[in-house]
Amino acid sequence: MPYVKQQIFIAAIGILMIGCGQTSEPAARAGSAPRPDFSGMWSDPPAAAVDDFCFMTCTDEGVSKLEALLDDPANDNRPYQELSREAVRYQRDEVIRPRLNPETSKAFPIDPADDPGFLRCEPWGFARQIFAPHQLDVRQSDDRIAMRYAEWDGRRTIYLDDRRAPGSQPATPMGFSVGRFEGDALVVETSAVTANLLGIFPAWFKHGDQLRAVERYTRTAGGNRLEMTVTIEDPVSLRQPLRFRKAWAWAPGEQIFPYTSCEPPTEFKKGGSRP
Amino acid sequence: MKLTHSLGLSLLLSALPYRVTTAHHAFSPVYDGSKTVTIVGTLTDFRLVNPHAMMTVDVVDKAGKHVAWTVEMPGLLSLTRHGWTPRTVTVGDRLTISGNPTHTGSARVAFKRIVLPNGKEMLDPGEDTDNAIEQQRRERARQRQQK
Repeated sequence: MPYVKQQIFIAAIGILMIGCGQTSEPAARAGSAPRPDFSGMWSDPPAAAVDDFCFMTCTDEGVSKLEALLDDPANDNRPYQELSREAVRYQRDEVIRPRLNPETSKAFPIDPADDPGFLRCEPWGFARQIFAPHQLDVRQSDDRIAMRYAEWDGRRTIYLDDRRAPGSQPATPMGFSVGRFEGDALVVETSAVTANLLGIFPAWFKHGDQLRAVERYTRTAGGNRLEMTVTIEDPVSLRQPLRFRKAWAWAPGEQIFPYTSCEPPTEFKKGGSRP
Repeated sequence: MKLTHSLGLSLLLSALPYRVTTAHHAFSPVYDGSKTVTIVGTLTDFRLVNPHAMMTVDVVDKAGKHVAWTVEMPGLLSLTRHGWTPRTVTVGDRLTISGNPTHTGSARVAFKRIVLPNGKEMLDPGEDTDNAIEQQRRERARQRQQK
């Protein structure tokens, strides 16, 4: 009967489509362990010395210096902010500066009065935005991760589908990012970033448009903490790669508010205070 | 003008040029972190926005002249984490506000603490964090000394 034949035909097509769907799934995912999930709202960790020191960003060497200062009985009567500033100076002069090219070192650290974000309300680029404090909203799907930062309402996409940056990819402030999973970690490689500022005051400098960054994100503390390390290479500003780190805490109750009321300064002076 | 320089606090802050970790919004080009001023006045405007919340406070000077002071605060994204809402202060409130003055001495201050009409004190979120960490540091030193 024509009707029965039609139903058999439709069923056969359906089975074929299901089969095609299964075979088109990326081979890397078939039978592999579930991907780690970073979705949700993250924000500043609770008050603690190391996390405060790394509020925007820090280096392993800077953290070790801070820990050593805190553990030194000779410092028992020195307030935390004084110890923190000493560790910041160490990090700036003994860790970051030796890795800078001579030209960059001369202008390091940049005068905060020269910050385009301050002067012209210019949103941060990639190499500052990834260190932004406060809320970070992560939306993860099969082929991409969307990250939204509360500071400047910065947004970026990390592609997970093995695509490559097209050769003609124009440099943009947030660059082009591809990611992959390595065990429990999300590894993100970023390039095609417009020349801009790297880091956040008081340890910041100008980078070039050849910057490449490898971020590595993991969830720790029972999933309630998001840790990031990032290794940055840039032939224009760096003679050696620099490695920074930062952390966020799980913050499902927080939200990101509009960032629309920046006003350029009406008064300022150059040569502001240094740590 | 009911404007006082709180000497004790000024001396304390002169050892603390600025709080390193909250200086990401170019504080030092505008404000002098080594000095503190206190103003008392009436709130005429409060905008809980990003990147910085702003208050305008009407301060009457000794000559009876009204001066509109601008109070620059951390942003909405930070203040809400420390208990601030649009209703924390209301236009017409009599407020006592301490903070860092500008380099030029203009009628503008970077908020450090505020005393509300009910006597409640609200601190800059950075100071809240500092206090908590300083307590942890003392405890760490105390435990080491007991070993």
